Amino acid sequence: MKRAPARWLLAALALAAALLVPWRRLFGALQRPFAAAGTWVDARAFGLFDPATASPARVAQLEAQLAAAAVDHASDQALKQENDDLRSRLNFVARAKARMVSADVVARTVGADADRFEIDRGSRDGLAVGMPAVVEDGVLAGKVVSVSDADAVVAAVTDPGVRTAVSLLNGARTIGVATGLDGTMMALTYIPKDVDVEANEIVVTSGLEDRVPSGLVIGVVNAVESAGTDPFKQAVIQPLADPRRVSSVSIIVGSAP
Amino acid sequence: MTSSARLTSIVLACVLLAAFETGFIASLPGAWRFLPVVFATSVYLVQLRGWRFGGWLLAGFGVLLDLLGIGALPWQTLAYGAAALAVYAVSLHVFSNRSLYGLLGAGLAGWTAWAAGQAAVWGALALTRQGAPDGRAFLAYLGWHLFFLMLLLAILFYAVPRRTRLPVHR
Repeated sequence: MKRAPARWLLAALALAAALLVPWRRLFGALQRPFAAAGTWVDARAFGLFDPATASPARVAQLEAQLAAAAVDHASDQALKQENDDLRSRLNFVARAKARMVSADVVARTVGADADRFEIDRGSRDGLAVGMPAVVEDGVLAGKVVSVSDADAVVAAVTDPGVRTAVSLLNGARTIGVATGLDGTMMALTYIPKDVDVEANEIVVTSGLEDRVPSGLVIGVVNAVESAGTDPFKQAVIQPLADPRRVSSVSIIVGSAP
Repeated sequence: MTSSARLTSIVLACVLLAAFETGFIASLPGAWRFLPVVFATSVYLVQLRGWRFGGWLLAGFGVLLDLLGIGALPWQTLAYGAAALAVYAVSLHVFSNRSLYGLLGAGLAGWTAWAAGQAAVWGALALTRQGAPDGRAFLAYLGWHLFFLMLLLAILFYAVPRRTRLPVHR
């Protein structure tokens, strides 16, 4: 008999907490160390669980790292890496005169190949749908696809639902819209056959998209495909940013005054 | 421990488990990111421990994925809710709560309902061309999910001593 009122009281308290407490921010704070640990494991386990992407050189490098690194040394290295990352992003801010908000990844997509991740910044910090998320010195990792008060979800440029206005750094400065293919690559379609596009050409944002400045590096052309009678050809783009190994990003929220 | 303290500890454990799966597990490389920790725990609690609230944990996880927008597909509440109902129904009417066979059977029933829900949403997205994940990747996801679910249930069956007292009521 005593249990029922206690349960109702607890349920009422939980409901009140859900309405009054910024639970998304609290939950994000809870998720953050887990996501950082998972990303750390992913970065160190590269190739061990996914033979298709392993290279002997990379495995040897990891083994050397593992042998050399004591726990405290690894911790120092992580801090140094974070520092370098932040410095390079500041360089981008200075160069592009962009206003940025730094955010940590707190969770990732649960499910098949859609590469989306949740960050701990939201509309309260000035974020809005369509804003670009960059890593390192201005490499586009993805775009904000949904935003709440305290957090936002970023879809990687390779996500099948994401389209990005791009430009190729070739002689013709070919422009177009690249779409995510399968979570690992992008495709630039409807390129007229007479336009010269070659492998290894660099792909950047064209600036023709709302909220996305021009010149953010996306990746390189991996292959160019064309069918015999088709008047257009398609370029497959290999992105430079790997959203699964990103633990923090910068969101471009506008240009500096 | 009072009943409200027990309930609070259970709710906190569920929240921690959900944060662990969406934060740590989802960041792991390769197929390891498909480890269904919450799913397996729920099935274990409902089927082997007779704890009905385990079903709410499963359904709640679907709600959480939809609220945060980090499910690979939308309408995760539908799939996880269907799974919770299926696990609860078979644990009540089909399997006894003593055998590994019953635990795996309940897991399979839950997974079937969950996979049907996921496939329905995936099919709807594919038909309306709204950016459904690649078909092969989707099937691989379902397959790995089932494999890891069975593995985790077997581990839970053998690793957690049956006499371990959980701070819950049936």
